[in-house]
Amino acid sequence: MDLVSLGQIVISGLANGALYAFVGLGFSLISRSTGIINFAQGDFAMLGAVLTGFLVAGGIPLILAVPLAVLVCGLVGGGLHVLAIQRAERANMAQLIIMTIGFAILIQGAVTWGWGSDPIAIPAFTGSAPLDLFGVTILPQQLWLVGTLALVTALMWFFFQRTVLGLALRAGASNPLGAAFVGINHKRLGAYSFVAGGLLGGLGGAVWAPIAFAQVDIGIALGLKGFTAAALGGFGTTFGPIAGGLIFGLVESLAAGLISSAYTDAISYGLLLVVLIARPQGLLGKIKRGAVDDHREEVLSAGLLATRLSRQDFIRFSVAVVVLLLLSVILAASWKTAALFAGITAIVVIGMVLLTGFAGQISLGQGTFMMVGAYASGYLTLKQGWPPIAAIAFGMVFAGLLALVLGRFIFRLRGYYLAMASLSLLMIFQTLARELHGITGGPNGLPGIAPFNIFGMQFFSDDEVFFVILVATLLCLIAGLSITRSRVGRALLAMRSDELAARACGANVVRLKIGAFVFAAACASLAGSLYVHYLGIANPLPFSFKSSIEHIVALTLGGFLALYGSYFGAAVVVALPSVITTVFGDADTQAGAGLKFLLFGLLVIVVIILQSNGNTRRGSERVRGWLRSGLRLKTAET
Amino acid sequence: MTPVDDGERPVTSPVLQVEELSVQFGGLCAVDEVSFSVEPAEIVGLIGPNGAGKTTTFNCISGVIVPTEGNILIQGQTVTPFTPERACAMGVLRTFQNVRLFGELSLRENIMMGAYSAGRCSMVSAMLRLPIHARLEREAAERADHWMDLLGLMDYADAGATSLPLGLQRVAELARAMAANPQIVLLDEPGAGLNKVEKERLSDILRSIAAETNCALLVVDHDMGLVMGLVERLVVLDFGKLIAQGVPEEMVRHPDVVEAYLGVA
Ligand SMILES: Nc1ncnc2c1ncn2[C@@H]1O[C@H](COP(=O)(O)OP(=O)(O)OP(=O)(O)O)[C@@H](O)[C@H]1O
Ligand SMILES: [Mg+2]
Repeated sequence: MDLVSLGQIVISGLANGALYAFVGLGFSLISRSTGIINFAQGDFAMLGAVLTGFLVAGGIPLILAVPLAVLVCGLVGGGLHVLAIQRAERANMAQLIIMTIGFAILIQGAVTWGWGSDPIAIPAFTGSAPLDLFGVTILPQQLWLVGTLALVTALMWFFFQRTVLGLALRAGASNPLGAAFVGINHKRLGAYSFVAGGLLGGLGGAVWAPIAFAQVDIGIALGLKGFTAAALGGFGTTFGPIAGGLIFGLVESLAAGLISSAYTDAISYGLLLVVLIARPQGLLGKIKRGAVDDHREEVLSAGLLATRLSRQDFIRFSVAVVVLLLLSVILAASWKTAALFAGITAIVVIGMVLLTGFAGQISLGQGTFMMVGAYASGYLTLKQGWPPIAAIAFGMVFAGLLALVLGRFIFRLRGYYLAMASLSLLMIFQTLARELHGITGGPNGLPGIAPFNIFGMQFFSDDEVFFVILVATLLCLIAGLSITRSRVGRALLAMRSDELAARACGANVVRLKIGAFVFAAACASLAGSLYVHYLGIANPLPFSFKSSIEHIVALTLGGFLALYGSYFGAAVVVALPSVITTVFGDADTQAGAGLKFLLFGLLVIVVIILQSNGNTRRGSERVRGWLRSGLRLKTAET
Repeated sequence: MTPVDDGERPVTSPVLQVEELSVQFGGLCAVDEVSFSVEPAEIVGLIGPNGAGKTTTFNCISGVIVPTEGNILIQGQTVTPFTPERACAMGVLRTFQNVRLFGELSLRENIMMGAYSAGRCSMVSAMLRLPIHARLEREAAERADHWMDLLGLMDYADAGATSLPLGLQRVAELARAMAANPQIVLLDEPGAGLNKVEKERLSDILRSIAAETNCALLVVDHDMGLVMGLVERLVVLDFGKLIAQGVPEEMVRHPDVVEAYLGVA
């Protein structure tokens, strides 16, 4: 490779890195002042880019369009904090983070609904004639981007070091009580940081957009890469994300140029995984030693259905099964297919109830483990002639081992690293599935997978498959119930209530979390296998990030602790497109898909607000109930 | 006094030895070269004014924080890394200054959680309900019943733990610790928030525990009446330093102790 191409790679790497730095700055600002990892951070940048494109297309001059778009992003950020996060005051951190996933879905859905998902071209600020520097071409827009970043950095430095409000905000970030002393309440601090996150993301997106295209799909990737920037630089530092973003942009660009452009994503997300595992405090951050970790995690509330699993659950569940069986006989064909997909989703969600509800960990990449099952079933039955049941078992064991290895590293850390780690693992597996043609058949996948069969019985028609999926769902449910009602389930609940106290009782919380993760992975793998045996083809598309969204929505709707709610949540998620089709016309159009995600996002946000408020009511009712029964005891004695 | 031999552990070594323990929070030295030890079945009081470093000392002994300097020996052994779960496995249990019961579990389940360390049972054996699971559950239920019975908690077994009055919650936390069959229990202000009757009941309970189970107790409390009537020996901290230790009667007359509490010599 000659020096000129290398220079070219460095330039484009630095330019992309500047964008990641913008997103990363937003991540670290919000996380420092509120503790929340804001999943919508990349979508702020996407929104900035798309809005600029939309305004320019509408005839508004660029010089007005950019500030307007940035301003709107800031307002959206602040609005989400005021309207959603502040309404869920009793929500715990996991719920708030899931809520920001709701923001991301909401923004993506709204953009798709409003403008579609086609790329929008945006004119460069000052002409697109490239400059020439010793043979290396530099786009003027790249200079704009890096220059804006430099300006923002300088402004932020001035604000945080030289102004009273900035100093107070920094104090507030490390110590809410300190902030209260200088007259800034926690709520306002959070709202400011969300506005700042929106402005930073929007600005980065708007200035970057002319280099490439503005498109709704970039939101997720920008979020992950901006998170990597913040993780590399260290979440606790103000300016670390800038260095992190530039380093990450360079490495990514070098990897693409020197190794292989097909594997760029796999390499850059692999890098994120390595950073999370090897240096969770970031390259520049320091680990605090000896600090007492005395924050009690508040409790995830129950969702729409009841919290504790009792004997009545079995009765309720049996009733539900009977109703389902009847429905499967009565229902029209299209609904039957929906019931079938709902069953598959429910199996994934049952695993997530254990992982998120009981072990308090958020995974955004259960699609990874579904893919493991899907390709294990596809490859082993098609190419190796294994019987389906053996292939399914192999997939479940493999998925479990994968979860075990990842969990061993990730759960040593406190916080919500699993969310990002699992999402980057999903991105890596998506790339691998598209590129490893020999095993996965590439983007076309492995067609011609035989229907599920066991002991010579074929399960071919929808009714027969429905029976298989029903049995599988039931088995997972019984396994899940069996765990949650065991001493291990008690330890999981104890850990959720108070991790330190659980450890002081001798509970090994890392093992418990790994166990829940392995269970969730095995469930997802089973679901993936069943999916491909039903459809007859294994390809990467159904297991993309969109599937993760559906899992999270189903989990939230069904209730974080209610195993038997999984099917309910899954059914809503699967049925919603049909409802949209009925009410608004076709759900398969871009606008319909956008509307679906918009509604998903709204549902997640509203349900979490309801849950977090319901929590307190239920708590006070419990106290009152106890007092009443206590009084009754006393009167009975006298 | 001669401790009762339970047949497994050496009788002579102290159950807990703290050697030159120091904890630094930034510039603040919360605990400064503190050394003391606790013998089996002994009741020792750890006292000192607010901010003296009592809770910090407890946090070190129970593996919650890593001390800046110094050693902690349990039954003559050091363990590294010393984590809360290791502490529990070594027989060091504790209660918390702000009661930390598991809000989502009933009282009985809370105390059964105390017996969690009785044996290991993987998630798979729990899911398949292998015999080990049944055995451990039976054991946990027996211990929970035993301690609820002894501490008068039976009537509230099925109530949500955090819905109970504070006095009962403190007793429940003690029961949870005792269900682990500990060698030593660290009690952080067990009397705080209790009324006079409840406090008297508590000290009766603590005395009978030390007498009957060979379990040592290290008690932090600000109620001198409670502490003096309970403990055999006192360790006094002030500004992180150990200023005196000895029998309670001597300690109340010790000039340094008087100064620490009254601010005058
Ligand atoms: N995590 C921490 N970070 C910084 N300083 C701390 C931390 N924990 C305790 N301290 C400080 O260490 C000192 C000792 O605190 P500690 O809680 O051990 O006192 P204490 O003797 O238990 O007091 P009290 O009787 O009020 O409970 C105090 O000055 C306290 O402010
Ligand atoms: Mg204290």
